[in-house]
Amino acid sequence: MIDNLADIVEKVRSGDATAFTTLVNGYSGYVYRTAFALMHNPQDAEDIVQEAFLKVYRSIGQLQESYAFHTWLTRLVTNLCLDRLKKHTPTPVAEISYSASSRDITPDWDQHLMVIEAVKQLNIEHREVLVMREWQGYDYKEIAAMLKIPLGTVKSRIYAARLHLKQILNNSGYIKE
Amino acid sequence: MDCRAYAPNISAYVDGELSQAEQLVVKHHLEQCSECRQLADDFLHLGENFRANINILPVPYYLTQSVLLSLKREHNKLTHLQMWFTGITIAVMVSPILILFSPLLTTLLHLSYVAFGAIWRMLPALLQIMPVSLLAVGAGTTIAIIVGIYFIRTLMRGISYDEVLS
Repeated sequence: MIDNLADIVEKVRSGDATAFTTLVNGYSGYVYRTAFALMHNPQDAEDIVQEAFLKVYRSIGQLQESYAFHTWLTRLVTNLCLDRLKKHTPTPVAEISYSASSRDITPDWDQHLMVIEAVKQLNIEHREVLVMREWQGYDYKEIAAMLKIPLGTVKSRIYAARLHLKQILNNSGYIKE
Repeated sequence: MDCRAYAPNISAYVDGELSQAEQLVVKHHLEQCSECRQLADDFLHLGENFRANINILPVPYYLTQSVLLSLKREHNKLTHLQMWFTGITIAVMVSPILILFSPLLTTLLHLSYVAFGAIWRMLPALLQIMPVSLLAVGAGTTIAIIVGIYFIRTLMRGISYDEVLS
């Protein structure tokens, strides 16, 4: 994302506005994608991005080590999303529409949409463990601690989520058996 | 053993989340069962697919700008608040000196002291005439405190006190 992240974070901590812009430029995509994967609502994802960077701006001074920024930000975003998911069910979005310009980036958008739609069909419990494991790379213990559920539940929930996602993709014709 | 008994462990096996003993058991089963091997393979590919597809999610082109804009707004709000606090602090610190050197202010202070003394002496009599006034004073003070707290909270919404005092 950013090559010399520790230096940039150090500059941000000392109040460098340009460094903060670099940080936002480098991380807004990651934060948005994480939030979208969890919330599955573009508006909620945008709100999370705003909220997350506001928190970064306010509390980056509390970060002990500059190199731990990525982990710190990931946790911050996850907690924001989980809090929001707990508070309300996201507004359902009928279709995910992508602009023409963004379609040029990758060749197979039909398959991409199929996967995104399949993830959307998962229930929130399955989606959050899957995103935390597959996208954010948390281990089972960390997921259990963040969601405040037993380790065994994490294990069975991830298994069920994978099985469900596989089934949805099978039915949609994405995975050919 | 039935394959279904292995299935949840296959998912954890793919993630490297099993104990060494469990891992060996699942590994041994996978070597013998093509169906479970396929399931493990599917889980692995599912993960790769999932990451790849999240990674190419299009991000709104205006996102960075809107984040920076709201941060600027936040920064301005904070600066404004800090200015207010600094102003009030200076005023509080300077006011005793001004009072000492200003005859008008000294007169006003004296007048208010006399007025307050008179009210204080009249208070028992006033309370006897209008016993409700104490209640009114109490209610008025409570309302004033509530309004004051609300005002300060509105002013400092979303901002922690240490940021203002920093």
